Amino acid sequence: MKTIHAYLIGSSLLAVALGSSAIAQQDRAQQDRAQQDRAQQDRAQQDKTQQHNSQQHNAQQQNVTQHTTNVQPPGIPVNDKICAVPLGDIAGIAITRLPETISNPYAGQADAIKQGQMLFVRMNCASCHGYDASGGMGPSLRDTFWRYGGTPVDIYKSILEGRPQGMPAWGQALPNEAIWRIVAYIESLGGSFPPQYYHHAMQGDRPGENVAPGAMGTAEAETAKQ
Amino acid sequence: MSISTGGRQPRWPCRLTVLSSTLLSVAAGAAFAAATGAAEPTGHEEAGITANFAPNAPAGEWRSQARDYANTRYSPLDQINASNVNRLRVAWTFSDGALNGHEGSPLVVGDTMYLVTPFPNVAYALDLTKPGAPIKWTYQPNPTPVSIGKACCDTVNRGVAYANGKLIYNLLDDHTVAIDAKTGQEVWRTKMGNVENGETMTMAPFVVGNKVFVGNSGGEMGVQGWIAALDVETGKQLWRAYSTGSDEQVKIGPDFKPFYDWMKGKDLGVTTWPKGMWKTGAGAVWGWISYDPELNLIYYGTSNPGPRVPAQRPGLNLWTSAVFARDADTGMARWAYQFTPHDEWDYDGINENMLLDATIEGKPRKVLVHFDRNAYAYTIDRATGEVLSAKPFAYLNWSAGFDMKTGKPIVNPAMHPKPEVKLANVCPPDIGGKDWQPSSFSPHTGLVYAGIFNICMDLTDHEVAYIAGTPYDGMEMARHPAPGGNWGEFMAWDPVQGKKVWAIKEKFMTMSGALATAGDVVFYGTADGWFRAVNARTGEVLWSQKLGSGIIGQPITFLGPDKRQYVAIAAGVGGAAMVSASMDGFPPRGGSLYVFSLDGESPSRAPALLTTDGGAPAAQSDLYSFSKRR
Repeated sequence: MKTIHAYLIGSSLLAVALGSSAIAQQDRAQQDRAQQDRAQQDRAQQDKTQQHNSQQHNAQQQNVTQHTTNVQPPGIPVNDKICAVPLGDIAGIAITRLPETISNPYAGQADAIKQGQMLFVRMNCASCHGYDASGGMGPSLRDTFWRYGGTPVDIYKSILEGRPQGMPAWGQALPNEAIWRIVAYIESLGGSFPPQYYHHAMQGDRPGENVAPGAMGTAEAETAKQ
Repeated sequence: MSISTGGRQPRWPCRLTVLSSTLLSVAAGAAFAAATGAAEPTGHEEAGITANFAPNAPAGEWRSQARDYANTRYSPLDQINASNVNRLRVAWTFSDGALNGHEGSPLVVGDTMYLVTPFPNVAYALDLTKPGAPIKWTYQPNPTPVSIGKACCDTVNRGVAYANGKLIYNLLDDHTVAIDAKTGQEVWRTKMGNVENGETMTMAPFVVGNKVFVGNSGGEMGVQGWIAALDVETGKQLWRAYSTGSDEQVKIGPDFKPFYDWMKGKDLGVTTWPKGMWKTGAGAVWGWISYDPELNLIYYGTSNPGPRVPAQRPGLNLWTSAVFARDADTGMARWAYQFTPHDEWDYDGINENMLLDATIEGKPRKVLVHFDRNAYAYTIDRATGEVLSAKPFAYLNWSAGFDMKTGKPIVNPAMHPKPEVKLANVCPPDIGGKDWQPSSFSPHTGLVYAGIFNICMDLTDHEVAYIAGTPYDGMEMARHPAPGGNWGEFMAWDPVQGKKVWAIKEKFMTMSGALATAGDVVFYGTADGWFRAVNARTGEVLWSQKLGSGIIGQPITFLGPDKRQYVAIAAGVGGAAMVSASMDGFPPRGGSLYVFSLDGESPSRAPALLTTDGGAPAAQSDLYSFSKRR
């Protein structure tokens, strides 16, 4: 029930986000809030007082079904590919090219960044990570420290799957394109790494630093050697 | 126990006041009287203020976080006193392995010290009979790391409680545990809430008899606040009282008699909210609890209302930002008083309620003294909930004054935040004129000592939706010092007159608890790591020591098995002190307990490398077991 409710929030906010500058209009915002209030009350009824309204429940179920059969916008990476990106380094110092090929379809797009920032606030990311994303309950998203990886696909996966120290998983609440918009906003803050930097980042490299002879290289160097 | 009177000057002739006191206290008083010809003062009759120090733990021990039911945090020890405190040196230290904010204090029961760390909430027993106070046992409860991301204000723990040979404390992940004090074995473990809900637990449990009281955290997470009583022996929940909801949920019944009319009515915990919003209304119970054994009432405060955007929740928002008096056995509310009706600035009501007996306008009154986040110092009749005085103790501009007739603060009309509109210079900020860091009372001076703040905030509210497991918050803030430029201040407050007697301005936040002792010394620490001893009467700083990290815990004092007086304080900055983390000189995290004594003397000062009789290396702590030394 909680999950379904979250979907309603996500889809209602996303609908607004995908509009032009509609979010700035007061009546749309009021509609949004009214929808949230209704959704919140629905959840509250079902949860705390244990009064199940099965008809209401079924109606919500139908809304969810409609949402999941929506066609993905072109260019959005498929989840199968994303799930194949490992979280750690691969045993045997194996190189994977897959993460370097996955970039954010919305990277650098001003509209998407703006919508991503709106989602960042409205989905309560800002309350944990700070309204300027410089950290608070959760870590800073502006700096170059990324415990779970700082390339776009890494950040996307952290939002999609959640992470063990209390970062919730948003994959059931937000459609993929919404998450990529949030990633676009985070990329715009300057602390993340470009996709081709996946192995560099895993190895802690900084752009422009000296590489001593004999230091194990990254994917490009390994390929060049061959 | 022993009290050394060497070097101590009598202050003025005093009469012995008969209060509840142990045989030991009386014996000590007699010893003092024999030495100096004056009787040990146990009350401050000139100003007419005293305290009940029940349950009167042995003077050399520290058996509960607040030392006594009244929450005085006062120690009757005076080996260390105003004339010799400048000889304090480190006797030994203990690094507990955790780096987050150290907000609790250790306990000393008999010859053992017990302490609990911030997440991951490891418990240690240290053997005070051996040099270096080695670890007797360690208990690792392994709370779930998910709780880390649900804690608003660092993964802190405000301390362990002791009852019937058991240590009882809360894990961040909403489990209350009891462990055998001798062995460290888990005795019981009770799940009190669900981290996936955004709920955590950080407060120190409070024991009265066979009951232990615990409460939740999550004022920024849209939880429903509660306090619960558990059976000390089994951990079974006896009752739970919510801070919002119907009278039945809040445990309000026919015995409930609030003093003010605006708190009288049916189901106010529902009707003072927009429909349904009481369910995510917070009122979390994350602070201190005190107890009056004669009235059999517990006193505790509730957090801010949720969400932290007042525009979304018109109404009084009962019973948040309030103090409850409840029957300790049944949990039924006797009275309540809301410090900040319809709180708009995150002024939680959870700060300690110190129980004192004072003569006010010629009449003896049983009162509670409470320095609220909203910067008013309250003296409240603890039998009825009547506000006897409400006076500012820190810089404030959210309120234009206090209406004694209605018992309500008068809100400055310019200080109502509106969503998306920046409100500059709101004072005090969310963390208040004083936060949860607890005060201490001295019956010698009749004063209450507290670390307070001198801070303001720029505030912008953003409307929020409730998504369980994420914050239900909406406050965007930047804090800065109030006029004067100092972030902190340590003060002595006269609760009868309602005024500051002296104050020490501090550049950094003063977020430690206070400790007042019979030696007429008061201890406190700063966020940049200075631990200070101050003359309790004059405020003169007598001694300071820089520790490894900032100090946000409470100092305690105790007698070791060697009958020597020690003072202990943890260093490990974090918690809400992090709002000032961008200050030049702000310290890194730390996690060490420092134990001081006069000249640093203790059995820890064993110089030699040891071997057993058979020639094998021995632990330094085995000093008293082996005779051979290399």
